[in-house]
Amino acid sequence: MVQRFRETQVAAPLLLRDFPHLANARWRIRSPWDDSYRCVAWAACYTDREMWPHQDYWWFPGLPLAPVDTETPVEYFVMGFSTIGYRPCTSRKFEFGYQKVAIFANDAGVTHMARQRLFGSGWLSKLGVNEDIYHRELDDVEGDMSPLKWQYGRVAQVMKRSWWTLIVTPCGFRCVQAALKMWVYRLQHDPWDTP
Amino acid sequence: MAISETICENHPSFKKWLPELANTSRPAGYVGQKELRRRAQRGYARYVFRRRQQVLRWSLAQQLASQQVPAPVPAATLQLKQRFLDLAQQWEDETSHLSSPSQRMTHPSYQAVLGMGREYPKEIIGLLVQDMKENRRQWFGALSYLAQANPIKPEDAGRIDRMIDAWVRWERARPQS
Repeated sequence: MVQRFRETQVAAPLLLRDFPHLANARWRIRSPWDDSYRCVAWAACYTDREMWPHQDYWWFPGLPLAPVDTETPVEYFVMGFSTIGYRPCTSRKFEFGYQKVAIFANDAGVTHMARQRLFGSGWLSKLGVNEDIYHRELDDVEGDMSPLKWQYGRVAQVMKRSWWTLIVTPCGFRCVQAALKMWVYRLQHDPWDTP
Repeated sequence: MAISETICENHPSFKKWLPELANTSRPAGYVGQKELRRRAQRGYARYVFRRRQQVLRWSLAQQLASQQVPAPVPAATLQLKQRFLDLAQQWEDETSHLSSPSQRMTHPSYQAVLGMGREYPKEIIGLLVQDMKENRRQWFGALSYLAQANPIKPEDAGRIDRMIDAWVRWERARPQS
């Protein structure tokens, strides 16, 4: 595992280049640069592995894997996250008693996943190997639908699960553990404020 | 001793050639003491120079044998490496925010590296593994494609450190010829 602390002044311009909508949004860097996990793992609260329905990456056991050279449809992710209690829903707004994840896709398939904060005040996104950020709305990281623009496209599916499911599965413990780890890390370094 | 000296001095032949010896010029091969000394110094200097060259050659060979000094790389390989590093940096800059392996692999820089790999498979596989080890850029798909192998154990899938280690071990075990 390699973690790298980058000052906001260094990281923010690079992130704004890839996510122009963040320029007019409220957002905050919450973790160091870390290449051992990406957005899908972060949505499932894992910080020790990369997840993708492909043979080189970890995926929920017993589920089908997609070939690497073709686009990955949303259905693979819906099936995968169903195993940890999520069910498809239509609204992206906060519902008391539920935690949500959003699946982003462009014309070439799934690109990204974001997890709603437990009490609904915004979303958490791990931007590839870059930092994990907090952003208020899902639109803040949305982008062009063309795969040649290297952006996330739009939200294709939202899923939710109840807090009870979160509590009774190891996923809840992992979420709390990861949140504490990032909080301690932020205390050790300079505060990351909204750029 | 005394007898021989007496014989020599009294011998007629001695008296006969002694004056001639005194009058003759020095023989063709004769060199004086100064010249001899100069030649000796020059010879010693040459000896020292050759000896130093030998010692240098020997120490260089020892360093090369212990790989303290990298072996000289041909210019074509250097160009290939530089081209690869430029493409790798561009790929990392433009796709570091993406998670989908298939979308990262469709990037033109990645495709260019694959093209180079088809032309120079041995060199590019070595560069990919080295780059993965040093810069942690994830070339798993390209390596599987070019090497026609996948040394990653199913239980290590997704654990980046272990995946990189698996490829590094595979590269060490690969026949170098």
